[in-house]
Amino acid sequence: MGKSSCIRSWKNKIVSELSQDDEIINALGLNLDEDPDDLVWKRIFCHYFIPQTEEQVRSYILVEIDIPERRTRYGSSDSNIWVHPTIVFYVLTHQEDMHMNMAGESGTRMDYLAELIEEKYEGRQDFGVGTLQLKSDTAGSVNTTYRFRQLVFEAVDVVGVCG
Amino acid sequence: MQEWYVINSQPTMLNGLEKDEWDAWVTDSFDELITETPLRDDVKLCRGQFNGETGEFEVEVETQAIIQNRDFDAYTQGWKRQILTRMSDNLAEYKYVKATDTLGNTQIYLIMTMPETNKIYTKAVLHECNYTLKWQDADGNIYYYPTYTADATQYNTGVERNGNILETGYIQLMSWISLDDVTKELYRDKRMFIDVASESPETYVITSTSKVPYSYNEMRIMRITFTECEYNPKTDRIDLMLCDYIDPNDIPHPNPINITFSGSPSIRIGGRKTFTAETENEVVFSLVNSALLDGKLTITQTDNKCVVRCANDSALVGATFKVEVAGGGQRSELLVDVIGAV
Repeated sequence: MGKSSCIRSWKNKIVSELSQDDEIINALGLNLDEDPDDLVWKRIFCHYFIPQTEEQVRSYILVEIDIPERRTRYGSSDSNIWVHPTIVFYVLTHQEDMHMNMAGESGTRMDYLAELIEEKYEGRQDFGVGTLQLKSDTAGSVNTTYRFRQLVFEAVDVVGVCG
Repeated sequence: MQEWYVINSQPTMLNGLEKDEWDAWVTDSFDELITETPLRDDVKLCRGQFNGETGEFEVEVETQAIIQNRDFDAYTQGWKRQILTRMSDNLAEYKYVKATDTLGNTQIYLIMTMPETNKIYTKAVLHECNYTLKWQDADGNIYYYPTYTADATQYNTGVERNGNILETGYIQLMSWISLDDVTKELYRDKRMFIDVASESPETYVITSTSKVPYSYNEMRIMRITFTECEYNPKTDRIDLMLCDYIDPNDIPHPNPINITFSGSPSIRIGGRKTFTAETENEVVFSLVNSALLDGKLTITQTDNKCVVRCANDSALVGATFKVEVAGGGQRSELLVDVIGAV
């Protein structure tokens, strides 16, 4: 197993969890012709993705995993044990799709989806050896049509297992 | 045959146990008789459906036996034999015997009586099968049954006069046949060809059956009486030797249950897939999978829908399983591929 195997296995795990989460599926606001069982590569992507067309008014969830530069490459042997992979979620929403007409909820679709993702992953202890921690939750724009909310989670793992 | 031989040594001579003495001197001697002497006949004990194309039964067990009454004294005895077999051959479990005749051809004999033992060997009466009946059931399945068929009207004229206007054939035959789950359903009005002629074979119709008297309470044999009937060129197929031919292609088969789903018939590891049975009947879904997928798939059924979930395990990618649905007497299945999560 490669040193970065956690990238694939964690992506598999996250995509699997997202695609079976009925609350998230509901919040994505699927069209009638879309299959709730088949959202991978359609609404949920395990890489950065920018829709080619701006005609489809949709929201997407993107996930990417990075293993940042080791902080203490030449530091003490004790510090050399740990790596801190980051799991980055993007909730990418067409600005025409921001309005979410959902009973009992008030807010933009983008914010609501980001909130569900935070609830789902904040504090999780099954990614690496430590606790998954939300480091940032920021909004931005891809272009004049698509807006996003970026959630960065930091994990802790052991060298040789992940990093 | 050996010029001389010593009967098998009997190691139980001195133990004084009568059963062992019996087995050693009687049972063992009979075994030796049919194993090592010219009285031996190599036979096959048969049961199950007979395949008219290959001439073989579903089950054929080779063994040795003594076929008696080969040197009959009257032509009316020519098809009758008795068979003696080892008790351990369990002759009662079989319906037919295959043995070789004087010409070296394999003959099929119908076991006419319930085989019984006299504590030395098992014996049954055999009749040589002289004709193989062939017919179809309502579903178009073709059956072949070797029978001993006898003349039931050998002294009459063979025709019936109806006021000097019409003469019709009036021959009757009796067929003895194995009684089983197929033949017990034979009733009057079933028509069959019974003839060795191939250009204009005679057609017969069942006019009576006798299922209980010869059953020995063990589904042994039954008698069928056939009466000559008219050939029907519209429904009888001489080329196939089948009366009232049913083309299997003409039999309406119930439509299988249609299993619908979105996208392709595949499920991602760690994913789920919903399958819907398009029927108004109550259905039951089930999965058929290899050992690799044991414990890796879950199925949840709600009415005529089921959701299959697959564990998030990369080792499962490339595996396949079947979704089966049954209901209303129908059954369908769908092969599903397991693909990667992303």
